Amino acid sequence: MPTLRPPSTTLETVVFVFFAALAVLGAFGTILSRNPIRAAVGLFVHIVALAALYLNLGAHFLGVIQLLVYAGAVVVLFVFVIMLLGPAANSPKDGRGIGSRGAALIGVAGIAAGLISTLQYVRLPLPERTDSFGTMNVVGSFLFKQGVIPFEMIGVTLVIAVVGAFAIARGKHERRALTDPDPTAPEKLAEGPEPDAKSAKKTAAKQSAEGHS
Amino acid sequence: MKDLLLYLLPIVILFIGGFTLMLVDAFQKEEGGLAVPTAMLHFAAAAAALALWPYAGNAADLARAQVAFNGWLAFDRTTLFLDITIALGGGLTTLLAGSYLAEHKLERGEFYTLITFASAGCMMLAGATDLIMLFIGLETLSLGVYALTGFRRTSARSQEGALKYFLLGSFAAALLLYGSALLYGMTGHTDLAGIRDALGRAVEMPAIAGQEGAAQFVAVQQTVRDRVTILAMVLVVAGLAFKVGSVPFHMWTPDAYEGAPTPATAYMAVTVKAAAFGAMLRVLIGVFGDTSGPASLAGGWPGLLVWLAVLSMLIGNLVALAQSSVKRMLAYSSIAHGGYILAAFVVAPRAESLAGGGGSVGQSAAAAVLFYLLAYTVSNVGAFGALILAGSRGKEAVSYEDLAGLGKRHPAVALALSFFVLSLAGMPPTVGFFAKYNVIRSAIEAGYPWLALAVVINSAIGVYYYLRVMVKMYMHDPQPGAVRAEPMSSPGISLTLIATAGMVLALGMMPQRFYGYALEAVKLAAAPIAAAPADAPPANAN
Repeated sequence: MPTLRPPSTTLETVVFVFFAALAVLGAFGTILSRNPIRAAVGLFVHIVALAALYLNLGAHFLGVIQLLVYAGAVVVLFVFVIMLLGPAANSPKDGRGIGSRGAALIGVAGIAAGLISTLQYVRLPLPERTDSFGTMNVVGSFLFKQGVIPFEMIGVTLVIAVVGAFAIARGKHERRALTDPDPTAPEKLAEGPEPDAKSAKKTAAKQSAEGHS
Repeated sequence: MKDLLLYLLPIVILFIGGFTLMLVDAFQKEEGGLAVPTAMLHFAAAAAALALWPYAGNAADLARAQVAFNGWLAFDRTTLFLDITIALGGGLTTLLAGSYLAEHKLERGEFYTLITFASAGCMMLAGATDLIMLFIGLETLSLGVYALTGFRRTSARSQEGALKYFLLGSFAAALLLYGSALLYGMTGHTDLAGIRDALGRAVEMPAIAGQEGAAQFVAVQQTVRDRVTILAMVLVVAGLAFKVGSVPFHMWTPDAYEGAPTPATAYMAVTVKAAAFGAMLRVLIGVFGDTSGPASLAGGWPGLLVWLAVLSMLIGNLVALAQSSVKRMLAYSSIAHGGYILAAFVVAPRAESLAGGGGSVGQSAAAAVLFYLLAYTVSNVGAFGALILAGSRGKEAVSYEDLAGLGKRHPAVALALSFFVLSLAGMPPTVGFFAKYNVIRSAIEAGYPWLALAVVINSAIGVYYYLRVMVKMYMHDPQPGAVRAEPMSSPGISLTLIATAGMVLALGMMPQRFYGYALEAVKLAAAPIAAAPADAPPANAN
């Protein structure tokens, strides 16, 4: 049965055990810590350990992508969101009841049962692993030779996403002075984020400062 | 590389043109003036597809194109026919947009870049022979169309439509992706030909052959694969049916159509439909088309699709009756038109499959799909164009009431709107009649008389609300004091409408010739597409 090759050398085994343990610890840290920042750090540890496992398996490209995308982008995004929300995000009472814990436990058990039974009964037609599988070289040559058409087309997909986002975002600020011909448009949308209130506050602050001096 | 650029010329033109448009827009001092170049790009892409037409009948060129495309895209006349339809629809709507955006103070260069890249995405989707390409094409066009829907940034309705379209569209894309992943898991292939071949073979497990209980194990695997494949097929159909807005995946259609700027609505209605139906043709008939062979486990799709078709026709038409906004009416009518096209799909795999040599009935039904898409493109662009022409800034023609008395005040505009609405209703000698006629004929030939009857009855319901537009324009007077639509003066739109009307008449006068082209398009595609092995050596390294 073509499955993943077991680690062949002692060094690979040692590396596997170390990073597998680290990944499990990181995962526990993510779900058990009450401080969202600590949870994010736990997730980071978990992701880096997974990347190391990929490298250990010889999937260099996947390992690097794991680091770049998950550790570099996703975790940073999480941390940004947590920082932006501030103390509001730290509400320990949410989701700590018996009901939600039980539901989580049932969900985890279900997924575990599904995974185990899948591994037991379903054999996907996986190709035999070769030594060059998943290395930078092979992935790069696939992307730029056989896969050049979808690769280039994804470039256009990204461009159209950026242009589309720009088209929608730019229209918001520009030409606000023009009256909108659509009678259904509420006035709120046509205005900015309450510039009057801000300037009023500023002038008030200025006045109070002047009053003190 | 040279081959690749040559056989991919329509898409390459739009790519290069789109990037050029972005640069021009960035460096020019004033907004505007990009409509005509964009339309020219689309027409150039259509001309390129037309020029490639003879090549697609040539075995040597087909072989070279297959090597160059490496199993990602198809080079055949079906693709070229759809490319021409898409480029025509995109070019004509761009011409409409030029005047519309200027009139309504929405003139921003991104509109044209978005349309150009979205058309390229449509062509990718129409030509995709690999699930990866299918998804990339679908996302490219969807992202463009979401942004076009929300282009009128200051209008709450436009934002609402765009948000609904975006959220539901992402969900539909996820369904499609899930179905694709299951298909890959079951067959080990992402290319359509490979999936078809793998599904055609029984499950084999040489690794455990001879072991105890091996036969039983393989039987279980076979059952699992059959059931999962059906699930995957349903998910893929659902994802594509969403894009064409067929019931019950139509909820986004009226809001998105109404909220979008009218040229964007026309674009959505014609090109996105053409591309998505093209992909459906390739997936359903190319992969699951052999409803009698060993791959028949998912061959039950005609039974699934017939419900989509009948419900789309019925609900689209009935709800269209109740609309007071003409734009919303056209949205529901486009759902109904999607139903007529789906009816032709149901018929197509009857008798022999297209992929396995092709029965003549199946072919005529597939050709009816292509012809309908072309007919619908010209008629619908005309109808939306006339609706644009009938209104001006602050005095848009949106509801039936706005149109009251237009026939007396502005007979030329009213005539144009009537003409295109008649084509949508399916009156001879316009092309709309022959499009429906082909669907009905192939349904009867294939032994589905009740489906033909459903199409006829629904067309009759449709005539009511199409004629209501004309009744309002010619026989009603506007309420005193009500807002009246004032036609804008735009030579650009007038010329576009004249050209479109010419096409509607030409297609209607010579339906046999254009139907013949459509038939040729599907006939050649029916030649078995050799499965490009997924692990082929890097092709075309020059």
